Amino acid sequence: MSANASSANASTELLDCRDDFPILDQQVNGKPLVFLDSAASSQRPRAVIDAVRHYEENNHANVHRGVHTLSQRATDAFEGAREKVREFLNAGSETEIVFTSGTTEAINLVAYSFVAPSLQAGDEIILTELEHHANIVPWKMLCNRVGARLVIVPVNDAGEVSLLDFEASLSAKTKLAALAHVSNALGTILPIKAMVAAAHKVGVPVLVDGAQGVPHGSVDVRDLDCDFYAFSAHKMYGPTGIGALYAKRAHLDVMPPWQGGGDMILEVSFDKITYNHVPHCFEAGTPNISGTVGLGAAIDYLNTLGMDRVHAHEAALLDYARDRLGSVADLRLIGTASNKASVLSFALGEIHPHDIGTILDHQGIAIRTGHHCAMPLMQRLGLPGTARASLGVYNQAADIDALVDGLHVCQQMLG
Amino acid sequence: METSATPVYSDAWLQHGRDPNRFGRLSEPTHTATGLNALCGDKVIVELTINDNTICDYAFRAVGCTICVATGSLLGDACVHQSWSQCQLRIDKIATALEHADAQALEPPFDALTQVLEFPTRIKCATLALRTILAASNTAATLISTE
Repeated sequence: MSANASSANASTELLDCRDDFPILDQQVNGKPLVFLDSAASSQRPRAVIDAVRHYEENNHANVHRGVHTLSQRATDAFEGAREKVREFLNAGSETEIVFTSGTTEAINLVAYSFVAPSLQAGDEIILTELEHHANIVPWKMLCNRVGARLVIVPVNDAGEVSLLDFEASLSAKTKLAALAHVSNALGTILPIKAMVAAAHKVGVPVLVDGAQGVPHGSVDVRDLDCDFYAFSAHKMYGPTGIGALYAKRAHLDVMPPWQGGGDMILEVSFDKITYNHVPHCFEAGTPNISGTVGLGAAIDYLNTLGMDRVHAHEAALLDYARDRLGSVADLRLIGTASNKASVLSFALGEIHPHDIGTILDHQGIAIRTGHHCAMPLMQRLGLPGTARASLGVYNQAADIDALVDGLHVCQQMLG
Repeated sequence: METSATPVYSDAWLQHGRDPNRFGRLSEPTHTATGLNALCGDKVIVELTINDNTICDYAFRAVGCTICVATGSLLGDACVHQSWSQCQLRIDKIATALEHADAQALEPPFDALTQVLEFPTRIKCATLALRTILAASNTAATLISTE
């Protein structure tokens, strides 16, 4: 292939940064690696790998309180990363950025510290039908504890969430709406800004699960006006085990700490504890310092590429992928929202997704198969799972061509 | 581009997966069980007719991948007209061999599954039907999970 491969380049100037990612320069099962699983975890550019290595080799010590040089360097790197996150999200203050282990911990923090203290039997928490388990389970656990309940906004057959349905789900009992920015399973982009506005009209705060939102385009939490925005570094070319929660300062100021330990206190005696200031009071224990360095480097990397160009690149590739996959007989795209990120779930005739995944892997092509941690969505769609190709900045039209060729092999073997 | 000659799935595997033996229902099963793999949604229903500790008939239905269906098909070849108690011991040995990646213990016809060991994430696809038949009961609807 491919005569068609140039069409994506013709319409939009695609990024050319594959060489920035050393892991992609390898063969898997004797074939050049084609990595189409960025929605599960994206790869790291050399800039991130080098930044973490430089920190580990030159600057590591524990942060805060240390009076020696290395501790100061580590603290500067750690707090510098917080400022980078603030700028990346356009938050008003770095005190609104809490480092967490990732999106999951950030959501649990909000569940425990913001919602739980006032949640009562009969109260409601709104989710959509397309949420990742990380934005379902913490809320279900919380509801079970106090007798509250989840209210689920449905998706249509295209995998879209209607603003009208969301508005109809809001009630005087609603304590929070927890909404995905972008569906990890389908790529649907939710109308978050309008949903936040609708929720705020009736006094309902909104948490946005931004795990799939941050890699694909600019996020402006002040423009969205969301109350909380949670994300993970490893979905946006940074390390695993690190992420952040943006929270409006007014909320953080009244939220009790959720984990106790060192660094989240100012003074401790057996009679009394004085907690540290916001946001440090939500960061108990020695943090993942090298992870924050990597997160900061990932932000620098994305800023160098330019989030507008990242978005344009992925949009062009998505168009190309939809076109090429549409030419594969018996292939059905799952999730055809009009506003969609570069995630392509599909079914291929009666071939089981796991068989597709294994046969593609044998050709060096990495996709994800299964329920994508979105079992309720799969139940809604009447599917045990899907095959999912998800794109990143390093993908090119040739990767889509390889996928299409690989799917033809699947059909020859199992169709 | 590779062709269907690619060795990723063996011919025996593909044959059982495409055209499984004993796929369907029994009219009057004495023992049944349902197995689920919650992680992928695969489901296997096993039915047996057992008289005097002899498996007189076997059928299965599956919503699953090629490995899952092929294993259900192989089970029929291995079990019918065999002693139920001996069959249980044998199937448990095969399932354990898969779970511990012990290729030497995969005696015929389950040696056709040896290639599954190359895909550690797919072992449960093979063990689902095996664990399901081991749970087959004549006293109550049995539901098992590989998770």
